[in-house]
Amino acid sequence: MEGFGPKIILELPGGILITETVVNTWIIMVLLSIFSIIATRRLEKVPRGLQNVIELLVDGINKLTIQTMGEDKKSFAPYIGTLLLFIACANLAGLFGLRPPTADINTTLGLALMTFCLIHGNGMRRKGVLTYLKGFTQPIPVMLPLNIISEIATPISLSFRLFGNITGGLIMMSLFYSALAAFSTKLGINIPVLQAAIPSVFHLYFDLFAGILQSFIFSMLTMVFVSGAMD
Amino acid sequence: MVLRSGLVQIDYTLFFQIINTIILYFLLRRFLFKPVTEFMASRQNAIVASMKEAEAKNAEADQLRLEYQKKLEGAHEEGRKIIKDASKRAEERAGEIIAQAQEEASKIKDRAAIEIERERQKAANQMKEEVAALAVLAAGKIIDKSLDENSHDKLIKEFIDEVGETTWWN
Repeated sequence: MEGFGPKIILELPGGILITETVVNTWIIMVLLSIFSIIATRRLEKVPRGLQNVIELLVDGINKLTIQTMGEDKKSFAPYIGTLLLFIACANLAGLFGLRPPTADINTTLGLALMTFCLIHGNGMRRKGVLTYLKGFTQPIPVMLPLNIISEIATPISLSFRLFGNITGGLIMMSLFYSALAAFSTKLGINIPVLQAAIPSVFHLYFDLFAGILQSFIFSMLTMVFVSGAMD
Repeated sequence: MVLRSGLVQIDYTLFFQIINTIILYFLLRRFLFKPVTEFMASRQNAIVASMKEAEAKNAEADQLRLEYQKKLEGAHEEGRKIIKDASKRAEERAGEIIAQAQEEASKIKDRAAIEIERERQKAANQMKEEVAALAVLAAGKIIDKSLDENSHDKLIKEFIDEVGETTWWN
């Protein structure tokens, strides 16, 4: 069946599937690591060229973390930065013809589960396990089930928000490409000429705008939830 | 025909992606965030330190300038004093030298006067003797043997002394 799911690249024994998502993630990881290593290879007192970009990026992420979570939680900055960079790159992968890894519920749910663990792990570490768990019975003990549901809803809403946005864009774009190809055929041209130039506006919206916005939203919500559980 | 997995299908990819994210986190922390953040912090510290140092140096320079100015003023004052002292001393010395020279000169003059007086006395005495001898000789020649040389010599000397003192020198 031809659907919109990620392609299966390799099937390992035991039914373990290596899909397009994982491979594209590896590509993004390699590119980000190479970029980091090259950009930070020779840091100079007076920044030049790429160093300016990297300093702006790292400083911006550090400042955003401190501003959102507070000075005492600035150690989260590398994780927030990783989220931001990885999700942004994953969303933008569509521009380069790679299937965005974030258009796979496994990726987004994985990220959301890590956020979930960070929320509760840090909450317990900061407040003590009992005090933290007691917090679920606030303001009245009857609220306990609702509080638990609300906590479980957090990773689900996080993961499906990102997944839905990117997958929606992906599906819309492929439908749009198919429509353009069909129009080209209708016009009596065998080459889908309409696919040139016209989709770029939609790429601008679905990939660039929505992609960067969603990476920002995911990181911001992670910061807000984690610092909310700790304070 | 390409095999695709389901669009919303949770499988092992979830674990792969969690592990991938964790690995990426460590990679980025090690190669991007840690070095850049540390570098920027150290640069910030260096800038703050150098600014503080510059301020301290400025203050030190100001203080040194004031100190030197004071010292310079002191030196000028001292110089003026030294010059004043020296000229005063020189004047004193000059006065001393002049006084000494005058004293010396007057001493020399006195000595010279005494010498002259003595010489004159000597010359006068010699002259008196010679005149007396000549007078005796002349008188002897004129009167011949009538006068005893010794008694008349005395007589003539008395005469010359009487006359000489008043007439010879004036």
